[in-house]
Amino acid sequence: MGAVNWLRSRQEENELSFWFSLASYDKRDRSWVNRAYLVYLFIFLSAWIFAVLTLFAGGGASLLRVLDSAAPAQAALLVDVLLLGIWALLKLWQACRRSPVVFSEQDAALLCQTPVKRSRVVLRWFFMPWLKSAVPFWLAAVTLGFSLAEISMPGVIGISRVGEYAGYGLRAWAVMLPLQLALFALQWIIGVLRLHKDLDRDWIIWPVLSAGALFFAILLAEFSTGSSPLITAIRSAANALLYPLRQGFADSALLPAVAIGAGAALCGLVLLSLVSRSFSLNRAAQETNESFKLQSAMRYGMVDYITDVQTRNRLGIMHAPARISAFWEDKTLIWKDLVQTKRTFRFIDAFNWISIFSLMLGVTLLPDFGSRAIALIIWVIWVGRVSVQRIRADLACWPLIRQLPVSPRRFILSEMAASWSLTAALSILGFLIGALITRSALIWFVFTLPVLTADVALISAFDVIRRSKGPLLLNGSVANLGAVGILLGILLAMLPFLIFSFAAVGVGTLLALAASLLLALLAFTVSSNAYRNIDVL
Amino acid sequence: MSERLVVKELSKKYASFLALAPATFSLNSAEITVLSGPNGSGKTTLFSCLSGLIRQSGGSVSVSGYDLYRDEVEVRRRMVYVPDVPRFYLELTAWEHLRFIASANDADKNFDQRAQELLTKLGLWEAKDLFPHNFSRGMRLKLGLALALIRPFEVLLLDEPTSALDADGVTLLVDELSMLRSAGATVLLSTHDASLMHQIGDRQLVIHQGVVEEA
Repeated sequence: MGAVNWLRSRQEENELSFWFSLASYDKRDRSWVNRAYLVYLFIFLSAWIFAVLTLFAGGGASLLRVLDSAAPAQAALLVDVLLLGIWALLKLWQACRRSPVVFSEQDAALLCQTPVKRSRVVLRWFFMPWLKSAVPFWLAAVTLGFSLAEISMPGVIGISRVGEYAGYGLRAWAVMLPLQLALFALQWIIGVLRLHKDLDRDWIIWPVLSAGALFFAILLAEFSTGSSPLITAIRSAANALLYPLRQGFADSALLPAVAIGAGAALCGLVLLSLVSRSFSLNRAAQETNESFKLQSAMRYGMVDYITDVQTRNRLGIMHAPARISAFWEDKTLIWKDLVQTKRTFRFIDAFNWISIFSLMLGVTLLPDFGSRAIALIIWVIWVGRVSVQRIRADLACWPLIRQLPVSPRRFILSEMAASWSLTAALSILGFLIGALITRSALIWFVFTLPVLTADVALISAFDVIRRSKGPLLLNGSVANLGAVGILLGILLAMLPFLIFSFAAVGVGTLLALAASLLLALLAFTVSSNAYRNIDVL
Repeated sequence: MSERLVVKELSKKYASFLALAPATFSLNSAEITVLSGPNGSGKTTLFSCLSGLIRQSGGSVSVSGYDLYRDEVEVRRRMVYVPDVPRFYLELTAWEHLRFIASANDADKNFDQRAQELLTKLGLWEAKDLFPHNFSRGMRLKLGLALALIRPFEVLLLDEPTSALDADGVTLLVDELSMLRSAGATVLLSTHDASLMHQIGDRQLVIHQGVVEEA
């Protein structure tokens, strides 16, 4: 057990080190300066969190007044119940499908193969996930408490009243802490019960569904105006169940509520310890291996890896072959891009296209040059990000793509063709609609838009290629669009827009178009050259 | 036999670390050359530089008189490289990968028949509609080979092709390489398998700490 404890402590230390590193604190540095920095960090963060929560409390107070102006404490209770209830149900549902105890690949290979006491492992693995899940609820409870204070303590809250103000938050937190812990333990009990040795306990879903039904029955009874015996009975049961939470927002004695919550949490932990004696660590490891990798990848911002895993899961095992017609035979790269895009399309991707359309619509609808320029800058960032998606995916398959007998110029054109067509079409559409609505002279700029889109797409591709290096590409690691690419894109888009905006309409249109064409040619040349000399730049 | 692949003073440096010392050698047509050397000696770096996947720090590579960078498209038509860990598109099946590579190399003629024969020979026919990310390492290597063999080439570079192949796979590879040699192809392959070196190698190059020498 000592080894298990030591292993878990190291994992927890590593996790803490990560969060500390975000605040530039190095846990290994034992110097006085570093320790003083930790004290400063603690004081600063406490003050900052307090200030932010009081800021939120202003909005929270307004919300409570809207929900129930006569009894804001009742409204706070409702918000608390909704937050806790929905979260608990979602997590219980998850626990019926995947182990709540998450093991890494290393844990699966080493720890899960050893005859250690299962209950000890489960309890030792409990703390960190609970802490991470609890913090948002603590913050929500304190905010709700502060919101009540904002309502109950009229007038300016000076330094002499800060203690009283903070007391509201502390009361809500003191009740939330054990109750959330009890609910978290319940989720683990369900998950651990499901993975009992090699048994498939599919029935475990029924208690969870019943709990869901009970929760919604309580909600319905609370909102109902009826007084049938059933509704009355449910209300009475709900009153009893919600007693501890209610006390968090009341003026009466707090200790019994905290004691009830602590008792529930203790019972939950004892029960968890009992049911986890026959917990199958191996089955849990099999279920959670991938989610552990994804969680780690998420923490370190490895978006490409996460997208890859999600794409693999979505694609499944096999697919009927996509036919290639004679039309596509000399445009194979574009055919491939279309097949790939079709197979990986998600509705959430449409958000990119809607944004591009809306931003260009905004350029025409906004009243002055400054706000139009801001909309155009955001449009550049969006177009840049969308335009490089395909080329980045292709560069990730470097040995395949580099060996194609395709010249750099043709490669760049093929890579940009599909996304450019769509971004240009949507931008033109948004721009035209806006310009027609406002009957603006800006409409003449529409002739420049397709070239302007190409400018941004090509310079973004240049930036991605410029930042990518052969040895990294061999491992599938492709650079993302960087700040330089975005700045260059903004420059290339703003120049024709400035010319158009400050010259007479006819001359401005021609000059903006000419400038755009020149810049597109320049962007095309630099991106092709960057691809040819990918390791030299 | 004529000189197909000519390498002059080819070198690669990573900052101050010399991964590949200036190497000069040439490979002939209808010849199989085996490259051997311990782990970390620079075999994969040499292959990556020869195939243009990473840019060399000095020297030049030419295939049938065409320079690797000045006449890139011509070289790509003539030379193909199969890495030890091939990478594939997530979204394309094995069959679609073959279709894409064949089409991009203007090798569409009789594609269906040739692809079926190739996949059957490599034992991948049943897996033709599978996404390669579900393949084992050996299957991935075989698909990498299939992508090379579906298109015409003069020079074939293979980085440790037997590392993940089963016994049948190795026999198949030996037969295929012998046929390619008869057809006049130039093959450079790296391996740690001494029996394979003697079985098919016409020549042997040895690389040690980035220095390439004739054995």
